[in-house]
Amino acid sequence: MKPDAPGTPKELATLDAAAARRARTAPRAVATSDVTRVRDMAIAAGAGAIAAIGALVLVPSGAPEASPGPLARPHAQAKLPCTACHSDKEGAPAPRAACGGCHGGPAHASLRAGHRALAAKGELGCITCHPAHGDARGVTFASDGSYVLWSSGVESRGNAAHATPGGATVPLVPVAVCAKCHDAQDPRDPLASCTAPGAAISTCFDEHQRADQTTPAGNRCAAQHGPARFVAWESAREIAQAAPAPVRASGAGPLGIVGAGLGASSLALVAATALRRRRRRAAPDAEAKLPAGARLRLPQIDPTTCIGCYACVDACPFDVIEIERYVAKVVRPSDCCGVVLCEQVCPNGSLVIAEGEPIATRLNLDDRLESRDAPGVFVAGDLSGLPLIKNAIVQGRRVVEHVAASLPAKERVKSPSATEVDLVIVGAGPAGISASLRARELGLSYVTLEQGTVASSVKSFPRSKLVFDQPLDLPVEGELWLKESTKEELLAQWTRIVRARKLAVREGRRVDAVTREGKTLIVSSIDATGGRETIRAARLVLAIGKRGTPKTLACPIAAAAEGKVAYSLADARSFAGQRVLVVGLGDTAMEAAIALARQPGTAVTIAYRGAAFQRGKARNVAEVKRLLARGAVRILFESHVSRIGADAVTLEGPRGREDLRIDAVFVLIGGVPSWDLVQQAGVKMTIQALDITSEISKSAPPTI
Amino acid sequence: MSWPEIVWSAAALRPLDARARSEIEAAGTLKTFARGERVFAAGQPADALFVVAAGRVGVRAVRRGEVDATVLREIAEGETFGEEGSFRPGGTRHMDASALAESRVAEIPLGVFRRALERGAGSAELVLRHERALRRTATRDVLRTLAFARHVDDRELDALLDATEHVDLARGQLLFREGEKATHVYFVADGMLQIQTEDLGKIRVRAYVVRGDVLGDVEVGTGGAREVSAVASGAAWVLAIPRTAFLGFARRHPGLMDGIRRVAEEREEAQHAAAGAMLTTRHIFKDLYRMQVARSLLVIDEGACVRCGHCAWSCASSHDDGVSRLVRRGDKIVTLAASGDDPLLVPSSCQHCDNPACMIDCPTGAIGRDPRGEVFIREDLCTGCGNCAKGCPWDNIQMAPRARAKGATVAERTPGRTRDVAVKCDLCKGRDGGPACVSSCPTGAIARVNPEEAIPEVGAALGVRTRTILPRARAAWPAVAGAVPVAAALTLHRSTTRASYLVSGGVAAALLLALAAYAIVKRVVQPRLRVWLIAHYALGVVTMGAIVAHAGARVPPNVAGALQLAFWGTAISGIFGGIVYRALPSRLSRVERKGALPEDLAPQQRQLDERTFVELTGKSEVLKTVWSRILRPYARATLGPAALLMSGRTLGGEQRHVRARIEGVLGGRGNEKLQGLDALVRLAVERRALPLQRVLQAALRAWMPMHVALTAIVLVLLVAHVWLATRYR
Repeated sequence: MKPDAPGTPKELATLDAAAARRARTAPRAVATSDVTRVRDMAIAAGAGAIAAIGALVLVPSGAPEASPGPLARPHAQAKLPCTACHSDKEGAPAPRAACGGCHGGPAHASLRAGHRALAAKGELGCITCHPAHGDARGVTFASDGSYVLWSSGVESRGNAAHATPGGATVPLVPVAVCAKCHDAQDPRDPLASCTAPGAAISTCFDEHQRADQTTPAGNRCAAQHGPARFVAWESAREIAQAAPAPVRASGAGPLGIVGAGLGASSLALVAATALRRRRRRAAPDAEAKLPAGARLRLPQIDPTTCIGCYACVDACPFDVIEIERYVAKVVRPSDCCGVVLCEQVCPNGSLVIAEGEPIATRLNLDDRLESRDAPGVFVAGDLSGLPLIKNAIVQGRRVVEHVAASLPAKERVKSPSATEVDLVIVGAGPAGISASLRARELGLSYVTLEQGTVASSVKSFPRSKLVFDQPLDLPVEGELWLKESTKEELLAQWTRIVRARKLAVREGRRVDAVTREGKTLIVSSIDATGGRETIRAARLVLAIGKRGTPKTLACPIAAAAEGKVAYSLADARSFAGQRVLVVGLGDTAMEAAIALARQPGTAVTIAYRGAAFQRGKARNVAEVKRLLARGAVRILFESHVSRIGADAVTLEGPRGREDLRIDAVFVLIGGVPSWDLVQQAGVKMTIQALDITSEISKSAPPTI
Repeated sequence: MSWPEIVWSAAALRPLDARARSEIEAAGTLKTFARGERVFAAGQPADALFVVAAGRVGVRAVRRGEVDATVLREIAEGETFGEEGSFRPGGTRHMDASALAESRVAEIPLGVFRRALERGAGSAELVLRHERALRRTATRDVLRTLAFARHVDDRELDALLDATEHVDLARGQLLFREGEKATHVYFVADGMLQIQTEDLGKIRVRAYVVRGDVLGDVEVGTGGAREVSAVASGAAWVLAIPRTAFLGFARRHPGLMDGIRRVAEEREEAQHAAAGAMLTTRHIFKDLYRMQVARSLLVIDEGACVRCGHCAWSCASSHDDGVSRLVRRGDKIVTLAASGDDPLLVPSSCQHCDNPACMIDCPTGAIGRDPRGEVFIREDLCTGCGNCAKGCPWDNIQMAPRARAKGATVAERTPGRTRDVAVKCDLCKGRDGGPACVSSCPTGAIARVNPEEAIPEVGAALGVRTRTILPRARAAWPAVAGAVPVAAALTLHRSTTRASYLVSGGVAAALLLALAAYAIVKRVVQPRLRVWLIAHYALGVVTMGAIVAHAGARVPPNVAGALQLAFWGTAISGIFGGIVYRALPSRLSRVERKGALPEDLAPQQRQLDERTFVELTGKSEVLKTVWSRILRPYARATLGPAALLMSGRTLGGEQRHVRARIEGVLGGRGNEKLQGLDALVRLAVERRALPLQRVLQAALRAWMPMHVALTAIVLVLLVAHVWLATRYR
């Protein structure tokens, strides 16, 4: 007993909807941000550490460690160790005792009663006004008349206005230090008389005992406080008022070090991310493989080693290979595009692509996809040999780049109009849109003529068909491609681009003639009402695909059913398990019906005006008859479609009207092949002897 | 020593020639079992056929509706048993077999047996006949486990067996469709089927039937059409009994069918109760099959998961090829077993199924299952064809470049030409302390469980008692709370003398190094990280106290000051991290539908807009107006995400809220034209939640690089500071 419709993926019910995708490509492992960011963080940390080391080495800190700030200059010059002032045992050094050792205690007792009283109580010491670290300031005079104005770890130099005895140092008291007790703003405060408004330095130099008084100071002090002290004071006052206190160069402080580290690490993080993104984008250059060879390439399968794993079957975008009796077999050689996907996936080398017959149907194009016979006419997309959307997008772009390169600025149309442009693009499929987009980006004047609507060939794909990323790792340029999207998503993206970029696409205009006038091409087109227009252009891009202009049904088609009606069969497998109506019984229609009937669970009905088989290859007729006998297809002779509704198709025939519930309708009743226009434009085939266009016209039935 | 002749006299082995016999003898084993010793047990992979050479063996199983196991069949010398794997590769045993007396039993690996049979038997016809015979024996065992078999004698059973047809279904295949004429009654011999109805194009799962269940008997009795459809959830083997045969049988045994029916109804009711009682079970009910076949399902508690991705990183780092077998994407399930209301995420990582689909599809037999049920890939046999990766219904196998030994080229390493090899979770075979992902989770949110045992809803739906509970993450707050007084006590001490500076500095430096050592623990050792993270938290708090004690609040303009700044930067970023780790996961999981990585969110806005476009095309004007007037402003409101966060609603709750608002505005007008509104509301809510997801994900992640970089700076400055401070006298 056989279960209903074996292997019907449609029935996957509530189970995962991604089943269809899985049926085609095996998921590849990718490095997610979970994994990469750990590496990034290591890089960031390393960069931060290196930057911090750099900051430490390049801008050494002036202040010793374990000190509240840099030592005052005279102390630093005397190379005083910490222990000179600080006891190792105790905490804060006793200031008076520490300073008195060198400077002499009583000589420096304050003259002011208030300060003296505080000092007696121990609440005021030398360092209250003359901090040894950080805020210490002063002027030191040299014997050559220059001076050094110093403050926390930095100094500035200048020449004193008065001759000042060399070696004298005058400590300056910053107002900030006085502000611990005094309020400089208050006019009643005694400090007010010592400071100029807005000055940072107290300008009173009468704090201590006068130098001209008899002092019991030692030799060391005498050297400093000679009779010239007044001169030194005056000079220091002038210098302090005239020159601003030197400021420590920014960036070397703690904030600078930490900031440098953090900045470097964030830069490294950004750089690592950017690098990875770039590497991911730089896919292997598959462009070289793109132009199909001049010979027909077909898979050759060694049946003795083939393990029947289906890898090649799944890889082939055109169902060329099938598994028969556990071994892969080429069943549709005519559909082979020669891309070596199957060869790449074959696990044990049983399948190799071999060069075969020369391909007769190739257009005679050069590497830039320009016709060798008709200069100025370029071809992009399906016509060039490789029928893949991604290829079309890339070619459309490339072709316009070649056009722009071959069209010097002086040859371009000065004032483009509706009748004169640089470039006419025929067809608004993937290649056409891609070309238009590039032309707009490159500033070419162009117009795109489309006989139907934008991307109508893609529109005829089955609903929700996933558009695959099959051909190699073809690098995609531009924004037209969406990875692993459905047909609807792709269409939405394209329509949006056409609208948002205001691409000059004129729908409903069919190009029917191309003539030449010197270097200029004259493109003639008609619209549905028969209105004719001609456009003069320097270059022409044919992006018309292989579909040609199909004949359409005259019957009314409900708006809701438009998505169901197709004029070509893209992928029979997508219709597995559906109810399909094929209109017509020519070779194309029969081939489609056969392919559809081979799918599991597909119910195929053929509607045909004639009363019996009338034309077509014997092979096709025999196969359809065989399917008919088996009940795999149903043929309704002498019937025509009178209406396509949202859920039913009405057929009229000798037995009266009949309503069929149908999921998809294929109208395959012939049409004008696209080769006609190609030939019109002067593009020729590689092999002249074989008149391939007539061959193709024959295969499509002219009427029914 | 060659095997006794009696083995070869078994019906299934008779056509084998001498070469086949020697092959089988080489591959198989002849074992002696003491009385009562077990030959195989339920749950083991069915990959061998057994023949009794001497003694007696009993096959036993629990009949439906009974509690204790019954001996279904006694196997005498020269008879086979354990046939169920011979026609369904990759199956699991459902019965036990043990020796009834001291016995010698020949174990024949099925792969070898099948090959020998195909070669030796000559024609495919003969092979098929053999398989049929084996299947018939196995089917008889299955029928015997059904409740009614108690009252039916062997002859009657044989008659039923003669009428039985076999249906093998693959995942997703239809057994019968709603509205079809009922021609057969079905017994599920193995696997699981979902019973569903179609409702406005939307499929509703009504029930699941598993091994031993009967379906379709009511319609066959009444002669009506099928009321439901039955679809295989995974590979299933169904016994189909034609209508006439079944009706005849039911007439002869009037009471029996009622019994079967009653068991089935009880089960269905239990499922309905489980599914209807709480919202939560609905999720599980959607893909119950996954829960049933999974033996070791990776689940992440979304209320505790901080999205750090350390699980995936540790997976990648513990495999030679550096490829993570775990990707934090996947569906969520809501279960009472999780802490709080938060769902469990089921990331894509191999779940070691009972009957792995990947194994069946493998052309070279590179995938195997060990006796404990772990599914593994033999990389040397893998040809990289990708069948398993495509066959896995949950994307748990990926293709990755083959790991290379140092210096070896691809060609040297690989016998064929394939660059790729299939990789999947191997449960970190050979690693001490179990899977790296589980032990390296800093919040203890991740666990490997058998869903039948650990998730009560699954147990309820399948009629199995839940035994274990999901492991809960250890709380961090007691340790942090304990560390605070220590830190406070430290701050009361101020260093004054040089000696005390040296002491407090030494302590602070040691603490800093201990904190930084967490990075090494995390990256290199990868132990049970949760405990270490809690220790890191507590140490961090203590260190803050130690730094205050050493340096006070001063920031001197030197290395010490820089160190001070860098440390507090590290501390603040760490505190921020601790807070967001505690507060955000649950908020984030509320506004997420599926597990998504941060990089997945970037393209989502466009995808949502695209889906909206698709949804709106061809819809009524009313709907389009509702979209442009209400839903679009709602979806794009600047403060919308903040409002969503504040409201604390889940996405589902927000959808109902918005839907109610729309209905309030419309007041019942144009209801008939609102088809498709639900989908739009869903999209609008998702669009509003998207920026919120991004912000929350970023908050959970962004602090970490800063914390790490600052730590590196702290370490550099610490070295400089110690060197300078001790050098200066």
